[in-house]
Formats: sequence, structure tokens, C-alpha cells
Amino acid sequence: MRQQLRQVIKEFEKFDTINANVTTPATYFLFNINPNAEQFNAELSEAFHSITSKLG
Amino acid sequence: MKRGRPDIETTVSFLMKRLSKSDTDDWMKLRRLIGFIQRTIDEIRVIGATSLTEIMSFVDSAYPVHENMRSHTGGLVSFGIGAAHARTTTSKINVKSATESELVATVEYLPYTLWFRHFIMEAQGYSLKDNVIYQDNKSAILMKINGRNSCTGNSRHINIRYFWIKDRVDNKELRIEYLPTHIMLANYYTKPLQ
Repeated sequence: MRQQLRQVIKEFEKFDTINANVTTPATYFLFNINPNAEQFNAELSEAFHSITSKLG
Repeated sequence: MKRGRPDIETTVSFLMKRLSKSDTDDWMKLRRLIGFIQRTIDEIRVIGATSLTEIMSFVDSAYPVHENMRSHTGGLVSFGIGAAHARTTTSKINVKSATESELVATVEYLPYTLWFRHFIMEAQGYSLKDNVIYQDNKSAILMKINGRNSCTGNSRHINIRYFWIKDRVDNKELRIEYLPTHIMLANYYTKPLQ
């Protein structure tokens, strides 16, 4: 399982930096949806889909 | 990954719902989650038992936190140390009150508790001393113990299929106890705790 997680982290690092100083998996606003948030381009959308699915 | 990392299950459960309509806000949530995973990747999950004849289940719900006004429900089974099983999911129906939300959450999680009961008794051959479901809503507990008799006014509309738990309580397959919110373990699976 750790190997799978390391792969996920590696995949994420291709698109963004990681801040490992967090102490909880989510903030208080986890369930809030921001209607003004920008939609992804196709590449990021695919990356989000792929990474999240691997965690699920 | 769900079975191995129950600590990230609530966040993953939410992000999975956003796959088809993800935006930059969701990406930031994913970024935080990945950061948490990186920080805790070498931590070890501890599961143990103080007694294999006592099952403790904790069920809770957060009402209503989702975009479609549905509650988020969560539950876990423990034998004393750590969570042997945990589940977090969006409620299947929209509900009218927090009490109804807790009732639906328990009914959705109950099959797992009963499965553990059968596993311990029939597959492992132990005689079960106690099977307790802990909840933090007293009105919901009364509904589960008394069924329709505790439903008045605002709760008359609740579908009869959510009262099958009463039959299990009557058969002494389980009992339901109150546990204050601040020590309710299932909170971890319904809210992003800080």
C-alpha cells in the first residue's frame, strides 16, 4: 500500500508542489463548494480524476 | 486504499463525488490530502482487541453538509483498540432533521455491525457478550428503541423501512447507548476535524 501511495504522490508532483506540513487530511471547509472556483483544463481534470480514483 | 487508510476516507469520499465537476478548489483539497499522506506515509495502523466478545459500533451523521443538502454519515466497528472497520458516505436520502439523519445513518451502517456479530459468533465460535451501538442523539435512540411509538409530529413521515433496527433491538441482537458528541469516535468520519 505504501508503494501505491508513493506512486500517487509522485504523480501529483508532476502537476503541483506538496506541502507536507499539514496535520489533518482536510480543512474545516471540506464540504463547501465554491461556485466561483475556476474549472480545470482537460489535463488537470484528468490528473485529478486519476489521482483521486487511485486513493478511493 | 480505503481499508488501509481509514484516516483519509472522509476526504477521499468527498473528492470522489467531485470527479466529474472538479475545480481549482477541489485541487487545493487534494493538495492538502496528498501533503497529509506524505507526512503520515510511514505511520503504522494499529488494530487490537480488549475483548473479542464485545463489539462496539459508533455511528454519527453530519446534517446536511453536501451541496444537494444530504447528510454525511459515518460509522466504525471497534473491539477496543483502533477501528476494525470504518465507513463514510453521503446519506442515500434527504432528511428533515438531525434526528432523522442519525436514524438513517444507523440503519445504513447496521449491516456491518450485524455482519461482525455473525462473523464473531458463527465463524469464530465466540459467544458474544455485548453488541453496542453508540450514538450522540437521544431522540434518535428513542426512535430506534420504541420505533413508531416515539414518532410524533415532525417524524411521522419517516419511512417504515428505517425502523427495522427496532426489531433487532427487541431480539437483543444489539443495544443502543448514548455517547456525548465530544467523545464520539464516528465524528472523525463525518466531519473534517481539526
